[in-house]
Amino acid sequence: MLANIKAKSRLLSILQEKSVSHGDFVLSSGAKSTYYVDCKLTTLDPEGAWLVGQVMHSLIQKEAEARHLEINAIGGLTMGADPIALAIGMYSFYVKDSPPLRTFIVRKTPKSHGRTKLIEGNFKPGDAVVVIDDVVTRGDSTISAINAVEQAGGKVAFVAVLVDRQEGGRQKIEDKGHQVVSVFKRNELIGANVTSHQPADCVPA
Amino acid sequence: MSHHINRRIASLRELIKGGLHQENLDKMVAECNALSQDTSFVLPFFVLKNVFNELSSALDRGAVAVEQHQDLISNITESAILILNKIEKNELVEIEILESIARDHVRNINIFRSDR
Repeated sequence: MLANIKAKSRLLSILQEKSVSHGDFVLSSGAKSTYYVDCKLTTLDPEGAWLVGQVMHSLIQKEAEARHLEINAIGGLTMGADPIALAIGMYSFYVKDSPPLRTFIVRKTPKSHGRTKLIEGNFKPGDAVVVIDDVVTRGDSTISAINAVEQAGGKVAFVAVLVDRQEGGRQKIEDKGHQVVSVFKRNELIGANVTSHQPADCVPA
Repeated sequence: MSHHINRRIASLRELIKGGLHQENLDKMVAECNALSQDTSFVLPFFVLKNVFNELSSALDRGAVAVEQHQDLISNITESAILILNKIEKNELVEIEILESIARDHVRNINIFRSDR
């Protein structure tokens, strides 16, 4: 427990140091924001990846136990979810989960040849899955991953994200019937004095 | 041009006016690809599809600073809408217009990439 609190505290420091930028940004959704969180700078950092694995593994275990669920596999939309899913899977092996959590990747577009599948890696139809994401903003990329998992025959147990930007995405996902758990919320990461504007608020380019 | 096609072109124009950001760009690429097959305006829609596709790829790494985004899409919205207006009226889209959007795009994307 204490080790996990220390790991979470150190992970927060790394995220704040490496992944948070302040300025005026256009997000992929078209929303404008005075800050940007690039989680990949943390999740692809050796120490960051180790801590992400430890902290998110604990989050998933706790949620699964509370809901009496057995989780088989974890994964999410490439590329934000990829290093996180693998870090959790490796940590699961390290702590001798039996069996360890299997990991997979959800493509944004189907492979243009072969079986044109959306999911790559260690996923089987019928698996109970935790869908992973690095940041949830409007929730669209997470919902794409949920849809892909369900279309491939998986059962989404819940969603686990590293950072919830608290901009409606969590609610949108939960409205579709999938609970979202997060390690950090925007306020913990950067405080409350930040703004984002949806595209409708912006002058068209 | 059939009513159905004109409606799709109008929707595409609204999407472009809504902003050249990644989520919209991916939809524009798909629609331009479809319209290049569903109309006789193969070359204009092929050009638009490739411009939007390259913009989407350039933005694939996440958020960009507002100034960088403006540089990346400079003149593209106006030219794309001009092209769609001509297609909607079933007018010829002159090669100079297509060259102009391609020239602006090549310049913008090279500046954008050199800044990152």
